[in-house]
Amino acid sequence: MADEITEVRQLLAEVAGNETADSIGDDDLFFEDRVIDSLHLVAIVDRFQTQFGIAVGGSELSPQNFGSIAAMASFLRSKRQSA
Amino acid sequence: MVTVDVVEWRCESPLPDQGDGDGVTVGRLSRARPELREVLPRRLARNARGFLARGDEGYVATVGGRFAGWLWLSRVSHRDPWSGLRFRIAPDEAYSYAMWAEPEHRHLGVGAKLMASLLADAKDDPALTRVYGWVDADNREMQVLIRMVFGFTDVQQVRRARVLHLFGVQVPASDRPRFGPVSRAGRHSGGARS
Repeated sequence: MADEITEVRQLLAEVAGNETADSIGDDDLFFEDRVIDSLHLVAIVDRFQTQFGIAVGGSELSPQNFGSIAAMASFLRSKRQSA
Repeated sequence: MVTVDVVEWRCESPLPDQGDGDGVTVGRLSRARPELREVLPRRLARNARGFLARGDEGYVATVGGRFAGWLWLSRVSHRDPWSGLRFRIAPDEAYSYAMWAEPEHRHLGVGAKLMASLLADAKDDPALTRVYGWVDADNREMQVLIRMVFGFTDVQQVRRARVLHLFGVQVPASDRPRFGPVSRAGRHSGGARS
């Protein structure tokens, strides 16, 4: 899953800035800890569509899928495997 | 035609801390406490009369004393003419609707502060077990707000249509599952769903 983590971290840097992305560990709950806000998350979800070609359904918007870099990477990997 | 997610928030759920500051103040508007009607824009004041007549409660956000947004809570089963959705609710349920944040204040998190205030009151009300809401499936910003920030979860999906941009219609038999607040059968009708 290292590739997906790299991709998600790069996406996060593009949305929230390098400094923010560099300050977050893979398992840090960055949304819960308010390191990023809901506007950042909207942009991230949009990028999943435009950059990764993955449509995110409403019910998939959960901390389990988008609560950390590791969670997003896992979600990305599972969507690619099921495609 | 639009797909709508009908969602719920359980009152035992934790509430996220929205923080203070940013200059946003949220107050309650009701028949018993009508003072905030004075800050409402004229275009919304007429809607407010109807909501208040039903006994609904409004949460009104202001910035510097000026209207910045609102959100309403109803404990009465009714049909919303704008969306066309008919919500049937049980005595221990409520329904949040009509969230609006003025565009120039959205960066202050007005929507989140409104929802936090509404849910905090719901949580403190021993008579309530859940609050329903609805969001268009393609409304990304609201989906993120209610699901990621507040933890609303799915109850049903239904389809709605706008007629000549004048009023909404709930598409008959589009509710899935056929049990819940936008269906004839649900907790409101004595159904056994937990």
